Amino acid sequence: MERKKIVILGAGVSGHTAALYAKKYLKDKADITVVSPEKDYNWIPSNIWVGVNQMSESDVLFPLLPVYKKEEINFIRGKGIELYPEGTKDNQKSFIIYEATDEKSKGEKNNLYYDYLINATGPKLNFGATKGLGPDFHTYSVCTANHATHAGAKLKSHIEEMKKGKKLTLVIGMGHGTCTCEGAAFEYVFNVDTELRRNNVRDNARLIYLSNEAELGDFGVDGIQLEMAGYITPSNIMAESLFTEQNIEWILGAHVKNITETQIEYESLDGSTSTLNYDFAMLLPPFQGHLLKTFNKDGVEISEQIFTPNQFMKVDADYSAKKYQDWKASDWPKYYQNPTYKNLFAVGIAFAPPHQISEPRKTINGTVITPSPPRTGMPSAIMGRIVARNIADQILGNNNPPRSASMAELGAACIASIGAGFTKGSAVSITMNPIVPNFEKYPETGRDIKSTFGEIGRAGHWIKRLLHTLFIYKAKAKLFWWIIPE
Amino acid sequence: MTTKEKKYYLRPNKSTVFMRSFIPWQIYRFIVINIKMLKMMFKSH
Ligand SMILES: Cc1cc2nc3c(=O)[nH]c(=O)nc-3n(C[C@H](O)[C@H](O)[C@H](O)COP(=O)(O)OP(=O)(O)OC[C@H]3O[C@@H](n4cnc5c(N)ncnc54)[C@H](O)[C@@H]3O)c2cc1C
Repeated sequence: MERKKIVILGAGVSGHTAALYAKKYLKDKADITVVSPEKDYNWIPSNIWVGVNQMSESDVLFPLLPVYKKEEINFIRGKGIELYPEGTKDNQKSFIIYEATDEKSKGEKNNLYYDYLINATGPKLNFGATKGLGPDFHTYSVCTANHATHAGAKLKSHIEEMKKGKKLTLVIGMGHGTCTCEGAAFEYVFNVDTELRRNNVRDNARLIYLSNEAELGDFGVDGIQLEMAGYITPSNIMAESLFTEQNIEWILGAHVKNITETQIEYESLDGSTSTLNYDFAMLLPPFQGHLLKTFNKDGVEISEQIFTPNQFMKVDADYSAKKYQDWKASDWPKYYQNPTYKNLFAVGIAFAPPHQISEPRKTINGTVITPSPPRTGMPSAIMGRIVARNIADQILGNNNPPRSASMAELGAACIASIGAGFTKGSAVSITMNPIVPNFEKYPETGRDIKSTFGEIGRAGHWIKRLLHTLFIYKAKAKLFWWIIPE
Repeated sequence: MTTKEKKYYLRPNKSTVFMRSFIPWQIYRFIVINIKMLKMMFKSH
């Protein structure tokens, strides 16, 4: 019998996890091919430390090819561009078209047939959504290791200026009203604060957190009511306390509209427009999906059926338009399977969420200022694993019920570091369970209060550092890698 | 937000700040937080 072909687009957190588990479950019973544009794996959460010069790119990157060679997984350097889930009239076998990105065959287009396709292409960093945003214009980013290196270098030169007595304004946050990943900006602002203190220049810096969140500590998950010091405490209380303690200012409910070399212009939730002068800005871009132009067997484009307007892939979620009050845990997907083409899956940031998690807000001018739902590392990796498991069960003919990984059932651990160093670092450790509040199951707070807690201290930093080592160990597929949970 | 408004926010007292970096206490918290996170992770698996 011909071996089944599994193609995985994207070698990031979710795709790489899916590839390793698919191989572990199926061994030589399937051909597994990963298509991804970069030669290296990037452990993105640690880019924060690169952005403050506490780590270098080589600490957060490693080459994928040796791992895939060892695991006997095919690796193609390329990016998926078109999708033919029905094949063509002449050959009704599903395939993708990818464009090679390696030096030798850059730009070449090839077909790749599949029995199962996992779309794990992550976010497209949409710097173009805001005028002047991004490393090609006026602001810095920590979304890739390379971006973080540049941010770190600029920060270093500003620290030198401040040592000479110059007073500077540093703005860190979100570059658009619909951004996600607030946790990363939150973490970066505290790391910058620590770096400034370490260099004895904190008094010369005005540090501002600029965000689309309506409240501090919203994190794109509508805030968290967590167990802290014997109280059920809203996360905004915890976050405001921390910002006040460190003397970091905050501007909330902001949609950044335009950035020049010296000024950030933003609209606030009350509809007013303000400007902010700055010297250094690290502003995250909004995320879009990577569109794979999709065609049916007659060659008619059907991308709209498969992708949402912001280019994320539709899966088994309830996408009907609903009011905030009517959102339910059951709106969220469980299996990450496309409803039309059952051999098509999307995991991690690539799947289309049914709606935001935070309460949607608009200004009187109609501008949407609401965080998009975060899909952090832990749920992304779990999605990759359960999709690999379900595909393996189908191939092996196991009659197990499919595994599910709804974000309304999965918990997440978020550790936002506050500086690095074994005896200097600290962190805010937060766990929430589930990620998407489930008021049917937990009527009072939407989450299980026993496993939703927050704490500030050095222990959190040690955990974050340990996770860096463990997750890179796991991603390198070293001995017993699969024992380490996602 | 300006520093004048500080009085409106929850701020840690000296002993809370001290405990955040007091190594024996943090070793204990390291173990507790890890157990809590592992419990939550296994619930999610
Ligand atoms: C600065 C920062 C800090 C973060 N910190 C944390 C944290 O502390 N904890 C946490 O849990 N999460 C954190 N996150 C979120 C975490 O990084 C994401 O949840 C995770 O990377 C999502 O995994 P993914 O597989 O969907 O996407 P990615 O990991 O981005 O992987 C996508 C992959 O697809 C590839 N690709 C792109 N286009 C194509 C194409 N057309 N064809 C084939 N391949 C393609 C990309 O090159 C990449 O390899 C952070 C994110 C950022 C930006």
